[in-house]
Amino acid sequence: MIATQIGRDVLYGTVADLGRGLREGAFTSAELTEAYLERLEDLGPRLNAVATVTRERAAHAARRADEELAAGSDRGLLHGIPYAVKDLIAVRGHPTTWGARPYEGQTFDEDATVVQRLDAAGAVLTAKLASVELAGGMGYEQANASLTGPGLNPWNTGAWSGGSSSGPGSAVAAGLIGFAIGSETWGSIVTPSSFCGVSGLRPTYGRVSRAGAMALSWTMDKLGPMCRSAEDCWLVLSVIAGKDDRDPASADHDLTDSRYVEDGRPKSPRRPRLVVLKGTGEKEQPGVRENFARALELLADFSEIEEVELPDLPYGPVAGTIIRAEAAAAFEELVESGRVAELTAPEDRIKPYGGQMVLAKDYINAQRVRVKIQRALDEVLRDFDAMVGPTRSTVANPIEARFSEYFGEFGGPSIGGGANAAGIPGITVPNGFGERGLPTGLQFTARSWDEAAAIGLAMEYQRRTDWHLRHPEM
Amino acid sequence: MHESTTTRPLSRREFAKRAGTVALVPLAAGVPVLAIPGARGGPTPQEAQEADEPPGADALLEYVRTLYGEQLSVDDLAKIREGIVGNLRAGARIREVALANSDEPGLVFRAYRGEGP
Repeated sequence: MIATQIGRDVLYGTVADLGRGLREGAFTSAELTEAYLERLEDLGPRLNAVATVTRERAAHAARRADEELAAGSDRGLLHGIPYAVKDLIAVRGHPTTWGARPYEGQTFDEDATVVQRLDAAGAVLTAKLASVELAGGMGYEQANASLTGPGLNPWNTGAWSGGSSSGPGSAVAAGLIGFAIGSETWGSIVTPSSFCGVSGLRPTYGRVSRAGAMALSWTMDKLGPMCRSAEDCWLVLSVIAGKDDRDPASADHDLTDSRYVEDGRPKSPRRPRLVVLKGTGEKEQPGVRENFARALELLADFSEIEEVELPDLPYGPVAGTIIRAEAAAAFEELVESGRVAELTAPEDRIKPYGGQMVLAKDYINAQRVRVKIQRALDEVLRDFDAMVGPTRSTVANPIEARFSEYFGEFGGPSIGGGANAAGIPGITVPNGFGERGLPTGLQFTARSWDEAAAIGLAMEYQRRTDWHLRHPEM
Repeated sequence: MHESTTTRPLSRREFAKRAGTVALVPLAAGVPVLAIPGARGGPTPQEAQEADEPPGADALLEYVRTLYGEQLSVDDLAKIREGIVGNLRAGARIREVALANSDEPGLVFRAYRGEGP
């Protein structure tokens, strides 16, 4: 009932819109939270997007947010805004399943650092969202690879929502929450964001504490925001970023200490210099190609765009070897106990055995070549404000299609393996629709610690387009 | 266990016969080990190279079978072998990058000292 009172359009609003409504008295945080809870409970299961709804905790936090605002105490732009986290992030008193049946009853007695920071900023945790089992690190080959079932895309429920942050992708797109926190080891934020038509940020490695989040690959895991605008990604990042003693990889880099920040907000340079990988726009799916060409034309109105070829380095083998080796150590007990057989995807039950056999010297050499990759990418990027390209070479696959059948048909140069190996940031924003009415994404990748450059450019793109303002009929 | 595959543990001989990639060589101590490439029934390094496959996959597969054979079927092992070949190929591709002795890994170890005198 409250949901209909508040109105669907409001629930698809950005964090900035929702905050304005709260402060202008259009609705309270309790009303907003109840409206999102109703959608999470009604639509969430239809999209296989929700692991747990944290109703009681949400109601309590929303009441507190309203009382504080009424008393003139405002914690900032996230105050009173409902959000959710991927279910590999610990929330005290609720199961944290990592999307995997062997961990179905797992609980932790402390909130993850990101949850603590969002709580402190007054945000309201409403749910834990679906994840591909073990963040997709076991080598799944099709959408049905989660305890909660295959993530369904709100734009076309016959398509996948992407992985491994499946729930955050579809829940943000379908207006089930104000924003979400996802995780990326290799592609797990940008892929579901692109497939579901939302804005998703992969921060620099070390920018956001992973304390309390499942470890798949200690040297590659990142947590980041998935939102309905690039600006929202900045607002959320501003709260969750920063050094944390509980995560030794977290770093003390001031987010706003950047030539891309003005008055505390990201700002695109007047005439940005962008770079595109040579060969982009040749082998992608037709819809992706057309939308990228159109986006590039728009960017050319205010940017200088050059083309570059990446140095010949084994980006994919390095990222893959590091992830397989670290995941093998992280989940050795799961394999040894035989409980790996309880995973949902048949291939996830088998592939981890092979992962146990990465040679130590190959892992170490991957880490040595990784340094060369970091330097090579930094050298390419340092003459530019960002690299731009299609986030994925296709739209989301049909729910039943095996990845190799669908994605294997298309290609094109990708920065994904290199960017994740190098730990550099990237943001994807929607740039149109392709095959089967599904969204496509445009990605801006920047140098380490230059999130503001990528976000500022994405904000400028969104200022000139309305793709991020279009929402699925749910 | 994988629903669609045989879950009965394999004997070493069945495994060698069905996987078709390895051969058994009994040791004097009575502990059978699998021969690595070059032994009877296994691909020679040259054969492995001709098949565009880095050598060593069968030795590593045997290690998997030794540790976890009770949990795996023949079909499972064939799929695991594909994964191992993939690991080795990735390693071979990484080795193509010239590395100097001074090229350190992107991992930093720090000495630790607790509080107190």
